[in-house]
Amino acid sequence: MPRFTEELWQRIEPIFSAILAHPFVKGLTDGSLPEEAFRFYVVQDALYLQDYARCLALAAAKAPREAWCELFAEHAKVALVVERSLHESFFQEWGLSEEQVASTPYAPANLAYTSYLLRIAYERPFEELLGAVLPCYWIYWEVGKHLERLGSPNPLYQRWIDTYASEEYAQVVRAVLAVTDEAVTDLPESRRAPIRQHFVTTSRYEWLFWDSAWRLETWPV
Amino acid sequence: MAATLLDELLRDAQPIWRAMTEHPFLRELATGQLPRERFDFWVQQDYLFVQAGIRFLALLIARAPDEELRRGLLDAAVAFRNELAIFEDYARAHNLTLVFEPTPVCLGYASYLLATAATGSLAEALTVLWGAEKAYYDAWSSVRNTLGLAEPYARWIENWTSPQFAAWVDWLGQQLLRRVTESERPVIRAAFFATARYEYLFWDMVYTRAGWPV
Repeated sequence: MPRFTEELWQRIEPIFSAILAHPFVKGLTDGSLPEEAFRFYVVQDALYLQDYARCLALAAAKAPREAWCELFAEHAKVALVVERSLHESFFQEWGLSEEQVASTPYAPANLAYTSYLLRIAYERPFEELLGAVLPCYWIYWEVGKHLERLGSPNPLYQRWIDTYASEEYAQVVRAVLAVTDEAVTDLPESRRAPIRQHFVTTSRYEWLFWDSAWRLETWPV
Repeated sequence: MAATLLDELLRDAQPIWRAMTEHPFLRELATGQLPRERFDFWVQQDYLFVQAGIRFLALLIARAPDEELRRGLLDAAVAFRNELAIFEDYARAHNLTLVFEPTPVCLGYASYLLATAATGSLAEALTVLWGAEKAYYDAWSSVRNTLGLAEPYARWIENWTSPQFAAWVDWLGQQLLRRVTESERPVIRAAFFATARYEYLFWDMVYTRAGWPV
């Protein structure tokens, strides 16, 4: 029998293909991505990571095992460390202060995605929360591996790619996949279905997040 | 000082507010030109949104620090339940299913409400609630001014333009003013603008039937 997480991945294969085929993602490796779109993306990502950290902290609070509580508490901290490292790696170079980044309005896709995560994190049981946070971990790892094979002529983009293709990051994702498979072992189908639903929904938001940066998405009013 | 905050928000968000109350969806609805399937789509999406609204109220009731706010929100939750019945009666009469996937805007707005109730301050959550209710009062009042209480919309129009509903919106505004601190003002402003934008986007989404791109 395939593992639950393998089954999850099968469900998002069309979405994952659409992500790899997206001009933003393709543009990272063929160098055609305008730096303006990349900058938009990294700033939105910094805002996203602050909320993602909150969700992981809620996952830690809801974890039924101490080891899992520790794992997500640690990851919540890592998300904020990564967020801060964006300032050193990218924002300083672009002359963007912390205040400027923090006061940038959330793009529509980002507000919808982070609101969905926070809502599920607060309202729903631990295992459903795993379904919602998993695509961010996992899709970045898969995209990172894919991009690493191709490489980028733009050193800025290459630096970004290296973060998500590292072995260190791989271990982080493997740990969460293992928790997910373990957490669902004795769950009835009725409690597995919402996990799948959240997993597909936040995978869609992953695509929308790339697309939002590509379009330099703004609010229409 | 405090009494002007609500006026200030409404004044600064006026371009968004006008785009919302004058959206083609509402204009066509008010002049009797809205195609039935467009209205039906709104019924399906707004039904989901009102359901999320009840959860939102429930979370706020749990967080309310005093009996006055708790009771006011409880009454509102009952009123929301009665709103659902308007949708259900319409769906039954028109053979319309209410089991429907939310569009990105419907899910985004509903999630925004619930995320605010989960991690925002009480004043921030009350801002979102007041903004959404005020938007509905103004949007449906403008419909009523042109159309009166015409079918098949009469119950909705009546529901969101009644004196009781107006009193509830005012009461909410007062509750918000009593609880907001000076340092919270930027957050309140951002929450109000996000709500106003989502209100516009909601009409626009049902008008264009904007679904999931992937």
